Amino acid sequence: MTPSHDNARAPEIDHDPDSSNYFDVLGLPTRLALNEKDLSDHYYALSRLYHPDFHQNALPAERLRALRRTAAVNDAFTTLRDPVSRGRWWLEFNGRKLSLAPGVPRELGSLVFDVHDALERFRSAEADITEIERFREVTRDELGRRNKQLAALFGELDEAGASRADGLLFTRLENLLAEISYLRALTRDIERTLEKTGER
Amino acid sequence: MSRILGIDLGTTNSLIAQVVDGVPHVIRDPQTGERLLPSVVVFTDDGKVLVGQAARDAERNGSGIVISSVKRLMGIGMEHVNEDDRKQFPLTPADSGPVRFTVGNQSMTPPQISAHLLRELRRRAEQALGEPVSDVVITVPAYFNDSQRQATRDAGRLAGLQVLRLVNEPTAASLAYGLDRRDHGTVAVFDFGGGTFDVSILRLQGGIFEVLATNGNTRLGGDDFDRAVAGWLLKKAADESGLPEIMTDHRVFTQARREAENAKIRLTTESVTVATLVLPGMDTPYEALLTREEFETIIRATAEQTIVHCREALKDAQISPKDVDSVVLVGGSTRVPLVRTLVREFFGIEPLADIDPDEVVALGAAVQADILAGGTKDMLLLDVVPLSLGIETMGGVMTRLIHRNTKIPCTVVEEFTTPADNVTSIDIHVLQGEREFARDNRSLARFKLPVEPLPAGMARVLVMFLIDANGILSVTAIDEKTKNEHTVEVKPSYGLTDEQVEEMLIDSFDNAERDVTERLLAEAVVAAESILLHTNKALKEGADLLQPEERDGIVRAESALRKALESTDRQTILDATAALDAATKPLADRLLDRAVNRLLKSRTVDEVLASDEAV
Repeated sequence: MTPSHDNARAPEIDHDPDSSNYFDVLGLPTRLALNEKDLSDHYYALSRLYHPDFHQNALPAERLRALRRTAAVNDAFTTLRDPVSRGRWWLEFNGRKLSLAPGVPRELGSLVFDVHDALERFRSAEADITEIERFREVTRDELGRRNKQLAALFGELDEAGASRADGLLFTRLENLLAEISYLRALTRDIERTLEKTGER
Repeated sequence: MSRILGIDLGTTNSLIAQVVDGVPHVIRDPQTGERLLPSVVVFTDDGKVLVGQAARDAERNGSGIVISSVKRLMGIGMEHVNEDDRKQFPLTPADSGPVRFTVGNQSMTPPQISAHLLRELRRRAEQALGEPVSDVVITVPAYFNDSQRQATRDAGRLAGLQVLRLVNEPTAASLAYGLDRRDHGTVAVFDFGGGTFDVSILRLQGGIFEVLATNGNTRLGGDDFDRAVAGWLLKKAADESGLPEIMTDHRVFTQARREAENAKIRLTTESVTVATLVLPGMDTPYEALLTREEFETIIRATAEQTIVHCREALKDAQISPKDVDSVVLVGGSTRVPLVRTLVREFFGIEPLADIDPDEVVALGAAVQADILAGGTKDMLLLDVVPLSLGIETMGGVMTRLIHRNTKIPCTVVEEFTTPADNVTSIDIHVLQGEREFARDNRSLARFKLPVEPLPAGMARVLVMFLIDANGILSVTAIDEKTKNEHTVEVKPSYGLTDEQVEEMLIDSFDNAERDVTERLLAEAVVAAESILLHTNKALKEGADLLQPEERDGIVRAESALRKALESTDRQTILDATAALDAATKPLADRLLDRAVNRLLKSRTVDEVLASDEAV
């Protein structure tokens, strides 16, 4: 069962499909700390209105516009759904240039080194599986902690407002996003290695 | 509301279906009462073409040139045809390039063979319904790439059908299952057919079917079980009868394949069966005992591959097997008990097979057809692109522009510039696949982008890649300076160009009696009449949205098209249609936006979600 939803005063959708702000496209207030249910409700509602399936019987130009509008809605939804891509988009939207190939975040330097070293030894059968599993726990904890930090930082940024957020907040967000991305990749590496062992 | 039908163009069988009073039905052949059309085409020695059961009967008698399971070769190049298929199909020898068959003194392509199947389905439907049929939805494996999809669309066109939509088979199946709007939860559709395997993970909520991820293999199916069992049978027969030469005897091989298939079917309900082969020079037929246990040992490796794909799909959907609320079985190969066991073990729940797995895809196609026709308004499918799409960049690397499992339709815009001074064009090589290097992925298309001769890096062209709701790519280039948009001529790597399709229409012997020029003209007239009809409607609805000069422009283009229709010149009609399309663009844009805004106005999200109203 999905939880019941209090629709006594559910928000109206006031959207601007031509805006470069993904929140506007979906008719959501520009708030980084967004509620997942609101996001998917808006996405579904706009899909119901724009999807080409419902515009089969129209002028060709209307069909094409419906197609492009749906594409824009899809893009906005997909970007905002994941907190990391949401944060990265928001930084760029606010004029922050993101580095394309950031190095290992400083905070994670020693963890990354230890994990890679353990995985390397594990592949050549010099480390045992419990060590890898322990690293999986450590990485997951680090990731969980940062996800919480990100949620809190989103709240702080919403509070400050993009125009008044200082460089410090931007930098904190950028670093946190980089760390989360790195921890995700690290988790994937560990999972993949463990999976291969399972298949053996 | 025009009638639109749903077609499942399968590897082993094909079906056609329609929705009547909100319920989908498979249309039977009025002559034989059959629902399934075997996907077999035979070209007889006396020049006849047999399709379906008649072709299967001819195949048994060993006469004529047989082409079955042609779906395996749709939209692929000769370099991707495996050894077994090279033996099975009457291929025109070539190392690369599009697949062609040699049929007598003719050369045919896979879409032309599929068109024979589609024409037969069309005949069935027209006889059963007593009226002409032209608009259809055709299903394709979710894991079909762009070329395979285009080939399917070409087949429809060659059969004289207007293919309004290609729908992914597992998603179509979910539509047939999820007819109740109250259904919600996470569903895995496990679609294991004769030649292809797909798994799709969907979230159902309030009539919306959102695909979270899809995975599969377009060369994995029940055929592979048959092949494995046939191999086992041949080897056993060769060993026990002391006739090693039968291993390479084509007639014995064909027999073994058929026996293997029949044994597989019997082992669904029986625990042991006998396979028989008539061997050259032997008085009594050779018999082999096959237990279900042994059968399962032979096919296990193939069957287990499906689970590998399920794991990948779940990973992409970011969920685990226990998050799946129900599993739906689709396709004939899900009748094999081992397959069911593997599915049950992996997901930890009993899979559903309430709807005949052979029919469920066609039924879902009919539901999607009904949505497009405006009949069903409360259901909506939100699908994804199965494979990443990108372009070749420096060093032969594939740069991804659209990642797999991206929601469709989708667009991505890339800026291109010139690598050297004064070049007049840039070569773009479009690829699809998950591998790092361009050469390991499927080449979809190549095109040249014209640019102004300027110093290196100065020219700027924006290229928009658009994947439509069919999962098919189109490319538009925009000149940054002039903002002029032009559609890029995309030359498909394995597919057919429009000109080739037209040539095939002309060559097609089914159309010999009909004048093809007339047929192409008729297509243009239908399109012209449709836009005239919609323009008329749009002018009434949007009278207040137009400046007088805009209105005049539309009216002028409208009468020009009417005048063009008096002629019988196809090109004149096409040009006038394009001109009217361009003239109505601002009106079309405003109409859509106003309709959406009206529906949104003073309504809450929940009200929009709850309404069955389409724009």
